[in-house]
Amino acid sequence: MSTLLFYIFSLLTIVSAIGVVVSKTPINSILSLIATFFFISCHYILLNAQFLGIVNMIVYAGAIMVLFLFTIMLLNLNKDSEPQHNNFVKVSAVIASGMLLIVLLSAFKDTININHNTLAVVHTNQVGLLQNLGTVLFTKFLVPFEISSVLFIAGVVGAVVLGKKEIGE
Amino acid sequence: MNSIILLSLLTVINLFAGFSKNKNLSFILSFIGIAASAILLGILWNGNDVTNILAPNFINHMLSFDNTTIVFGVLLCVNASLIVLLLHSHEEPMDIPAAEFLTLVLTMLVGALCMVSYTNLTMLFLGLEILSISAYILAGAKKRDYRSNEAALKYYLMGAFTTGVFLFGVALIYGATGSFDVTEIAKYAALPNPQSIYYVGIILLMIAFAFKIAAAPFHFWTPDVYTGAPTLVTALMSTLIKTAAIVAFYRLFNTCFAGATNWSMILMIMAAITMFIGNVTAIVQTNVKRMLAYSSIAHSGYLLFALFALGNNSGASLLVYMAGYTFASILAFAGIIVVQHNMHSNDLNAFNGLGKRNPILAVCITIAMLSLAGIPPLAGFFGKFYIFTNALKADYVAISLWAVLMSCVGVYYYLRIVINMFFKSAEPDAKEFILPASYQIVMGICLCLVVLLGVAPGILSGLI
Amino acid sequence: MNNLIVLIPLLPLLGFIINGIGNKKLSNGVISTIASGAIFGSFVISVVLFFTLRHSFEQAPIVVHLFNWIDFGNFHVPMAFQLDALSSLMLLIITGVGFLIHIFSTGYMSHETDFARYFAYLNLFCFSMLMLVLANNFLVMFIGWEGVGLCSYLLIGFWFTNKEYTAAARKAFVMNRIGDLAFIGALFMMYQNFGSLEYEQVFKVARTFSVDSHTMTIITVLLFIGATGKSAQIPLYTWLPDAMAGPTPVSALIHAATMVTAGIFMIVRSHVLFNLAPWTMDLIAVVGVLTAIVAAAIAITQNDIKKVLAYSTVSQLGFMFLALGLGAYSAAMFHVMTHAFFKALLFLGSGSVIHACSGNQDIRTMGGLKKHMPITHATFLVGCLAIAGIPFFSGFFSKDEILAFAFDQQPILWIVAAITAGLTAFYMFRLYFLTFRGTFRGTHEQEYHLHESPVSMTVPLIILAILASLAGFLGLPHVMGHNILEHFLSVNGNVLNLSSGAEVALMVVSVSIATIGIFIAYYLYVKRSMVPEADATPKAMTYRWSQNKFYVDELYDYLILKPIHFISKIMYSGIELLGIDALVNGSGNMVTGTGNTIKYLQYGKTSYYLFAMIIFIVVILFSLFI
Repeated sequence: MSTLLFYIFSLLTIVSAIGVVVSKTPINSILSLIATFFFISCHYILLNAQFLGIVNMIVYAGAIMVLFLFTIMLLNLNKDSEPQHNNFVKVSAVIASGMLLIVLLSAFKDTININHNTLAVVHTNQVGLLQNLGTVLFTKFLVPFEISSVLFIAGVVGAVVLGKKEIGE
Repeated sequence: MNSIILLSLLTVINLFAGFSKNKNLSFILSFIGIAASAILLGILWNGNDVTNILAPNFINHMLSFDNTTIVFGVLLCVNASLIVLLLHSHEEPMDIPAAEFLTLVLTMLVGALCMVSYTNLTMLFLGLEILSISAYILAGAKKRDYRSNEAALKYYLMGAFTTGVFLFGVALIYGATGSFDVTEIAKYAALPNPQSIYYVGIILLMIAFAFKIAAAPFHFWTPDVYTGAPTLVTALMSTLIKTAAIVAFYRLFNTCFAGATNWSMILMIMAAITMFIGNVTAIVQTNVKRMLAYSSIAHSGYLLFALFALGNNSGASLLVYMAGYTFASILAFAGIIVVQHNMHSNDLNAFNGLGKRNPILAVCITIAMLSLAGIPPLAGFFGKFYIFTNALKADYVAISLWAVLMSCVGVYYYLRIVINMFFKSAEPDAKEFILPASYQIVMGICLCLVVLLGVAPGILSGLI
Repeated sequence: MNNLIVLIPLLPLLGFIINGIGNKKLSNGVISTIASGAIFGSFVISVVLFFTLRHSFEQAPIVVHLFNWIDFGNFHVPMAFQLDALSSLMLLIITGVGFLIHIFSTGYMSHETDFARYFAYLNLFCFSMLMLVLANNFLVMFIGWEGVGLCSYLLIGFWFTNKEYTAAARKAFVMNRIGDLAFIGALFMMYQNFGSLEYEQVFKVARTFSVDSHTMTIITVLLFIGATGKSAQIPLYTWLPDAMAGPTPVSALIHAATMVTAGIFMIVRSHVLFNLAPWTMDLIAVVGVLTAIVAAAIAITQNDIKKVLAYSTVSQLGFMFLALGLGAYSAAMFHVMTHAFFKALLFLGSGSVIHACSGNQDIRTMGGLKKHMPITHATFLVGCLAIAGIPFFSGFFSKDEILAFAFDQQPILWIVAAITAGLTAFYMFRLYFLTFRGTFRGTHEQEYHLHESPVSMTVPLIILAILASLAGFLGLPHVMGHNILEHFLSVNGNVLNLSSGAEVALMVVSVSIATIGIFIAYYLYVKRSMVPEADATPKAMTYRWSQNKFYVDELYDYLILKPIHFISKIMYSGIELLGIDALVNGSGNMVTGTGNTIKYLQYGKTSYYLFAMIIFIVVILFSLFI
């Protein structure tokens, strides 16, 4: 059952991701992106990471996408401002991504006969619960958890100093 | 760990110090904080960890403070404190308040310390991000200068892309090994037949690090960002970030991937290209800042020697090299800031006749350039000497010859400034520049260190 | 306590830095106080250390480790100082004589405008010399070795506006460099063969080598060539007489008392190696004795007061090398010490004379200075008596010990050395009689200006005169008592096997030779009041040869300089201009061209950069799987 669901969600994720890239209007791209995030959240839940799935939905599909939508509407993008691409870039991009595909395929090929004992993901439906996640965060990963606050300080300070209007501007 | 905690707390306190009427308060706080954290690092020497206030096993799986870490950590602290001193004189006015600037320098230092002490890839990632985000913002510290804006945005976009690459690499390695812990990864690396995704992971991490230390062919951001960013921030980027990144790079590859050999060939080719592009392109630059950006790229090429020719002395040679490079760079950038302040230009011609006008400043810049070029008996020479000797011992003859050839090319552009300073005459109405006190102090310290490390490199290389 | 050693070289270095930086800003009084104070401090520390530690020297040298200077792979060189009997003796000589010369300089150089530069150089010189002496490995010694070479260049060319003086400075530097090259070669050989440059390690490994092995011979010969450069032996001695271009106290300090003894010190320091190379020892003895007699023969006819002293220095250094070659290391050091006293005294005395004669150095226009400058006269006479080897003055004992060794091992060497001693007595007293006796032969105006020098100059003279007369009692010959110095140094060399009767007989012979020399001088220049004729008057061939220094300078000029000039001209016009220049410019242009081309990689657009990065990531990943 879950295998079938995995393939369905994977297909939908890829289709909507392609939609982000190919759609002509920005609004359609954004909507496809939201769809992509949705399906990725579904993948999280399939992997028993319920909390992450929900957070992903709230933060990305909710908050950040709304921001994107606002930004695009405010900027009023039109056809003229679309970046121009010449054929050379297109051809080389196709070749490059094709090669990347081959490389990654060949890399992932031998994960098929992977030793399941060394697999990182433990398949119990308890692992993604908030309680377990919290326990790990506040014991094993306490230091990174605390240090990440410094990251946020840097981000907040940056946002304020760069965004603030100076007196007289 | 205590030093990281202290600095983290200080970032917040510093913001409040910005409200104070006393404009020096945040400078004093930052300076004392950085000095104290250097001392806190220093007392951990030889595993002498008596002051740990947290339960140690939480930390020990994330960070470890061996002697290599401590020496590099102290070097980073010294580096940051010199920059703080330089900021104090407002020779180069920034568009963001000093307290915020200092906070970002402190966060940067926290990130850098995490990067030299991590034993877990999550810590490495966090350190890298803290360092990078602070750097993106600082690169745009001249808000009203569109070149600074451009630099910040470019750096941010490309850095974000690299973060993606880095995370993908970490994910693949996690997928292969089932752990973020470097000792666990090292255990996996010792197994006979690692999976392909593991190699892909290593390569992706390598690429991310190559971006951070500005090695070709991932150096494209460097000239634009270094030129556009405020000069003080450029100094910070080319010294502190480079040190942190190369040490993190070294730690990871020395502990985890030393057994896997297929990446060393790639690194060697990268080093060869980096030295070539850095040195050869630097020759045709007329903007000194841009020239130093390319020189910084070239130095990354030499640094990569310590990685692909891993040996017992790699750490020591990295230390000697980075110390010499750091102090010479700060000396050079300080000189550039003074010239820029007085001549409103970074062009090579702005240095004309400096030897007559400000002989001491000109001598300082000359010493810095000679050290960067690797002329004995200055610190830069011994850095190169150690690095090349190591490579030769490991039988990397061809690449070492190439490196020596490229160093010779390097001498050409370093000496161009010297020639402009001493053999070209300035405009007749040029006045003598006045060096602020903090510049005198910093340049004096750097000058002494560059000469001292050149005369007695054993002081450093004996430490680790 | 032991760490005080560090201060000994550090104080002069500080003095150099302060005086060097404060060049124009400090007053003369402050400058001379700092410079002399620094060296006096070193002297006091040296004395204190000598008296507190001298008994512990017998067990092991005291080593003070400062820091690891070079520490890379197998190559370790510590910055460390070593204090033992040998270095403490040298410390006392350098700082003691150096201090007196500093004091003398304050008076002598008082009219000089570049006062600070002079004292800064002087301090730097003392620093280098102390580094040389205190080193505990050959590389640190080499710093000092190069340092004294540099300082002597700076001080000889002190009056750099005079072209002739700068030429002399250059000559000294180049000659020294030739020696240094050999010294560097010896360092390489030592590291290659002994795996270290630290004295203790080197000597330990060296002892495992067989006597007269090729390695040992090559290393010691290279070291000896190095020593001939610094200590002015054949064939590299010609720089020393020219070096008199510098201020007279400099001649006293560098070219008499300290720097020229560096070579002797170095050989005594590495005597373990030399003991294993008898062939080199023979070479040293022969070169030494030849230098002694050649220089003495030249000194006979010189008319410049400083030139005479310069050649006498070369000659005395030859004596010391003779002693080294005979394995009489402590005798050599003894002569180094006594020579430091009486030669410093003589040079300072000549400085006092020159000062009085307002710069005139030609002894033909002097004479009768005895009544004008009584103190200078008396002290100068003491110096002459000491160098001539009159009993109970210091030179008598030290020279006699060397002569005894020569007689013991190789009588031919003894004969040459004894003749040299006679010549020495002759030319020294020729100098003395022409300068101080008779009547003044200069102009009236000059005579009017004659005066005794100020106290700052006479006091060092008096102290040195006392030392020059009494220092000999430190090394009494066996017939008279106990040789304190030999016992103190306890360097492992050859031992004297002479009966007491033979020793006394030798003394009598050498004293009578010296007396004959003095008597001839007295007869010629006092009784017959002979004055050397002007340069132009025709003279006998031998006299002409001697006066023109055996045409050695001209020989070098003809044999070495002319061919080099010729070759370099060909090199320049043929190879340099057509070959190398074209190659260099071509490759420079090529590199610049490449730079101009790849500059355009830096396109400026972020999307382009990102795209390039992706391409390269793919390429790298792809290469991994091929």
